Amino acid sequence: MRLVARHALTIFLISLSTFSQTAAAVDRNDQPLILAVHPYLPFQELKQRFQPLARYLGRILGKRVLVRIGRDYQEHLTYVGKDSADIAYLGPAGYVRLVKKYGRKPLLARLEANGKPVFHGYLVTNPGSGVDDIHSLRGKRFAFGDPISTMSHLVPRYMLLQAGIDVDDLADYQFLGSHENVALAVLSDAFDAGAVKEEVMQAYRSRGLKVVAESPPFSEHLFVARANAPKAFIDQVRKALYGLSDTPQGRVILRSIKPSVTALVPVKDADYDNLREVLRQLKEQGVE
Amino acid sequence: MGLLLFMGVLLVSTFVLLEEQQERALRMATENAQDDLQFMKHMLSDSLQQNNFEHLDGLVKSWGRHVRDTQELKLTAANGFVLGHFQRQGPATHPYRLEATIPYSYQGEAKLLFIKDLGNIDANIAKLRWKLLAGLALIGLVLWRIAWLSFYRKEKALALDQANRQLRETAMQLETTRAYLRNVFDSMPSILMGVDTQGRVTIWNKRAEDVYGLSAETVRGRPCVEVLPDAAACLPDLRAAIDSGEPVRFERHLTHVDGIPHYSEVVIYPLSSELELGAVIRIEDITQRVQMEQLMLQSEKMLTVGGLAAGMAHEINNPLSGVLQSSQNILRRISPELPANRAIADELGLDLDAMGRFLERRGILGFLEGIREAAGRASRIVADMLAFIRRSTAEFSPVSINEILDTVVRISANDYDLKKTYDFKKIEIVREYDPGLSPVSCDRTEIEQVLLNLIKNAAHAMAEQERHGAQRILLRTTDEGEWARIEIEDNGPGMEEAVRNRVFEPFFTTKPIGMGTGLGLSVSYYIITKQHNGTISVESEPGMGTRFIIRLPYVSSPQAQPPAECKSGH
Repeated sequence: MRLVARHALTIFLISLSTFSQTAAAVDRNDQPLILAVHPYLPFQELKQRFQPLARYLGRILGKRVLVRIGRDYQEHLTYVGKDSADIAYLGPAGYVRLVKKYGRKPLLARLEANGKPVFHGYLVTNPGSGVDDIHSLRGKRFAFGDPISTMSHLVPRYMLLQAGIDVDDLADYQFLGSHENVALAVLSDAFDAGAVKEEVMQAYRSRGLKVVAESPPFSEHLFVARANAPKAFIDQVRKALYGLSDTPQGRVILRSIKPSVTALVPVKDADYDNLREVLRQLKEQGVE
Repeated sequence: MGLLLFMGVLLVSTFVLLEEQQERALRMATENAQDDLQFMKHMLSDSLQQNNFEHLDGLVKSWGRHVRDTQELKLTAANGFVLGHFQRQGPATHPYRLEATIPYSYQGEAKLLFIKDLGNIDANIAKLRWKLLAGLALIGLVLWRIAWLSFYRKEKALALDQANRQLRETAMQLETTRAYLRNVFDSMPSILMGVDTQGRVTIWNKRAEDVYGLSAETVRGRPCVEVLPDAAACLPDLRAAIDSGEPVRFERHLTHVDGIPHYSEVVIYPLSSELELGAVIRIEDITQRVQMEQLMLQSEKMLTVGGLAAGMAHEINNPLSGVLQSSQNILRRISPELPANRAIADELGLDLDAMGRFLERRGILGFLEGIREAAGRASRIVADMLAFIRRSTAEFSPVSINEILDTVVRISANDYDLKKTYDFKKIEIVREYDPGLSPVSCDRTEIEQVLLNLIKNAAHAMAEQERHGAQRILLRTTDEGEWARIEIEDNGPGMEEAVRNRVFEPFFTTKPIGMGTGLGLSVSYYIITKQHNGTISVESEPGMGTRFIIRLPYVSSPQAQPPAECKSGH
């Protein structure tokens, strides 16, 4: 009798669970989709940049798509890692960390800027700094951007290490936050050199910014889907993203994300292996 | 001139004030610029110290855009790199340059250049200058206007003065015209009363004042009905005259003043002026005219009757002469004393003496004598009447007053009174003639008429009085040196003083209507005083009888001569 009762309870709980899942699935269908973006720019700026894409996807998917900006890099990674977002936009280092911590996610597409799906990091200086190459940075004042930034800290740090220069070999180093702040600090001679991404280097080159060293190519920023997303959904989104560069309206949406973006192209996890290697070596050096 | 000087001083003062204000404003602006620079320095210094380079350009541009009068703001790093720059479009009109240094990082100093354009102050001062100039112009305009107005007012005052003078002259002319009109109205022998459409009195002339005893001031503005109760009856006619614009006339409007009948002619002349509507009522006393007309009528009647009487008298006179003559012949031819009678009697054998005795005893002779006397009296009556009626032109001749008196008594005795108001035969005629009275040079007919009138009046007066005693008329003549005095005295009722004073006025009569014209005594007065240079007066007391006294000069002429001359001629 007690056994019957136990089975009955189990059956009831299973039924209840099934009912809850069905209800959740129904709810999920009614809720808008979330497009999560990592906070590499001010909130409003990012909202404006990604709103056209969200509207486009919403139209394709037949659902409303909301843009969510992460409070910081870590919070964004946690949010995406726990599959709270249906679609997520990530930087290369962020993606490597995400996979490392939360496992793989279905990859949707990566950026293609100026026809290339890869980008470089640059060590820059001002004309009066007396810095000619990466080796002459020793004993100089160096400006990094954000400590978790790929191109304003991790890759430059790796490059310096490759040249045999650790931060202790520098006269001084500081994290100045943004790539722009690094460029301006170097140009105004507050620092002898600094690390910036290609886009910023190009912007300040005309004002006197000088390249000391260029990093190897790293795969561009990318879009991922939540781990539990249906294949049909993933295929539908991929198709939508890849097709953006085919229409003038799509190209407008792409330029809205970043002026240099020309297309969204297929991406695979192996594209980030070199970066994954860089990060591994940095970790070995105690840099995370 | 004073106004120009004042404006000049005001202008100079304004410009001096403006210069001061400009200097002061510039000083304040430069001080403000220093303050601004210090503030920016602190603000930018914080960012530089925190290596916050990317916001510097935004700060500089934002400051430049929002802080007024910033022409250029430039932050330059120690190596000359421009960290932030703002430059306003267009050149500065009054640039004021300030610089500051801001230490940053490990070496060098950033330079801050601040160029402030003080041109706005110049522009503001210029605007102020124009405004003040405009204000001054306005003040000048207002002052000029005031001055002009005061001048204009003076002109206007002069014009007004002249207008006043003209008005006064016009008023004087008007007053003169009014006085003249008033004079015209007052000079009119008629009563003139002006009324407005409401019947209120507007004009009241002197004659009206005299007649009604009411002054013009008293009656002006009062309803005419209130002033003249008789006018109430005329109000419809007054309205009709005003409405129709045609005069309305009433003749022989009869009223009684103190019981004496008065005739008036009333004419209502409507006023057709645009300024004033109403009417002027003219009331004329036509009593005399009416009475004169009645007298004329009476005279005409009398003339006709007189003519008839004269013809009749003439016709009667002939048979009467025959009767008289025949009666005389009969008496003469039966007289025994006439030889022709005796001869024929002898021839016929008739005893004349016996016939004489027979005729006497039978009274035939008395009858015959009566016939002769009666015929003679009738003949005298006719002769007197013819003489009275004849009305010959004034012919002065010496006449015995006593004789005239007798003649008049005789005529009076034969006067035929249609109404039988008196009987002359009942009146005792007492004659107290002065036998030595000299003949008086006069027009016999006229004097006879006067005396007849007085005697008849006396008879009338006594007839009106019911008395038991004898009615008596005393005729007295006396010699008064150069004058013959005639008194005709009755013992009638006498007269009140009011009547006595008016007895010689024309048309004054106390007799009932139709009995007298009121002209008898006035005509008598005229005859005695004007034609004979004599005097006539009356003495009377009520109950004491009446005495008329006529004094005629012994010598007079038909021409009007002064009594003195008459007297001297006597």
